[in-house]
Amino acid sequence: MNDINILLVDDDFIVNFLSEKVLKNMDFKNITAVTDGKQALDILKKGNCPDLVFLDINMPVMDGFSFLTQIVKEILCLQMNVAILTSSNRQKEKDMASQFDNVIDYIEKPLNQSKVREVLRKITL
Amino acid sequence: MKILRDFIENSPDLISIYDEKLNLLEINQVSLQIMKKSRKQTIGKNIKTLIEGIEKTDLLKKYNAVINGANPFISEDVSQTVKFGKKQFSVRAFMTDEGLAIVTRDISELKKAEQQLIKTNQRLEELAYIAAHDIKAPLTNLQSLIQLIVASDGIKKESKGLFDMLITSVDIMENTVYALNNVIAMQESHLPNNEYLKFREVFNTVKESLATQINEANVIIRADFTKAPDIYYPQLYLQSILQNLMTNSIKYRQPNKVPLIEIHTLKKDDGSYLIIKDNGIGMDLDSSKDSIFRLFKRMHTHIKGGGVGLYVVNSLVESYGGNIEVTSEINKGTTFKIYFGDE
Repeated sequence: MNDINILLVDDDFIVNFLSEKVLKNMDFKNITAVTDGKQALDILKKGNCPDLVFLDINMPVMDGFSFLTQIVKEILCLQMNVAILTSSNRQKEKDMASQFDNVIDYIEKPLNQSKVREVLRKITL
Repeated sequence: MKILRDFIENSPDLISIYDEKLNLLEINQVSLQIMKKSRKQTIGKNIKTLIEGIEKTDLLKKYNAVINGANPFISEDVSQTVKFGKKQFSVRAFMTDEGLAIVTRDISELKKAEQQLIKTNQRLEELAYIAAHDIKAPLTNLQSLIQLIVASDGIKKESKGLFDMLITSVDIMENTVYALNNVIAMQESHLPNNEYLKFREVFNTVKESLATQINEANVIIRADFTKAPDIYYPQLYLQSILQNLMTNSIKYRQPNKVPLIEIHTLKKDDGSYLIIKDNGIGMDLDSSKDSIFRLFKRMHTHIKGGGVGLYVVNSLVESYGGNIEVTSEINKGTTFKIYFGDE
């Protein structure tokens, strides 16, 4: 499990830094971080499908929901698991997130070990 | 009947009376002004000649129905494009001894103001949401970073005091932002459905959820719902109201007295009432009667509180047309009397 590829997508580099720290403490090794949906999409387009994505919703350039819509449209990495990682507890956004098949969890920031374990339980590899 | 005639003539509403064939019998001054016609040009004329384009609406059908014995017709949503621009009217049509009376009021300005108010409210809600959310995001980071610094023992001994103050400030901010986000989430949720509820059952649920606090403080609760056992109200609302008020009674108890909470209900002509009385530390209402329901208003600084409970209770109650009366005396206790509004 510790060698799965994890992609962090958040425009706040401090959030990425903190999430990475939590994941490294849990011995995950393959972690990549980008700061918007467009950069994440570019990685996918190169044929690198991460096993798990922690995805923020509100981001410049391309936000989380546009990213999710785009990968369905372009049929990219259908097996990829996505966990929304956001500071919004808005019901509207939870409902929207639940409409995407890849989304397996909706987590409120900050990421911690127990939240990661919860995601891993829901993951299908 | 001179006086009645004067009333009609001077009314700001447009008033006209038609016979059963919808020919005009009587019309008041303001109607003539708006139609830019004289009495002579209008009396005896048919409604179709007087109100251009009325055949294209369903008003004729509605008026005829009233003439033929149907209930009075009332609508707030009659738009008419006339020479003087697009206007919105409220219309009432009812039978009198003289014939069909039609009372029309120009509510264009009112409707415009209403639309503006709705838009302004939406903007303010969105602004509150964005502010609360955008503060929450970096605050979450701040907390995690503080944890990391604590874990790495990264603060020099002489800075320890400053660092602790930083932690306290961040904690206070977290409480506030957390509460603010909850309040916004509550206001965003749609009005829940009314249900037939038994006060006793909802009270028992709340009591159960507060069991730990009740036992720890040895609170005595006397509840009597016999005078009004049921209510038609959203369950979550009633639960939240009881929960917040009972929590407050326990939180603000007198340290040297056995805490007592007395709860009862009443039924009056205008609806149901819930009265919650405690023997707690009380508040000085004279200095702040209107503001105790304000968000983040705190009556006591020595006891931890978010200043959110009463705000939530009050907005729930008011959103259903009810209101709250408070009486309180320092070191005697507080009584909340809640009127739930028209059921």
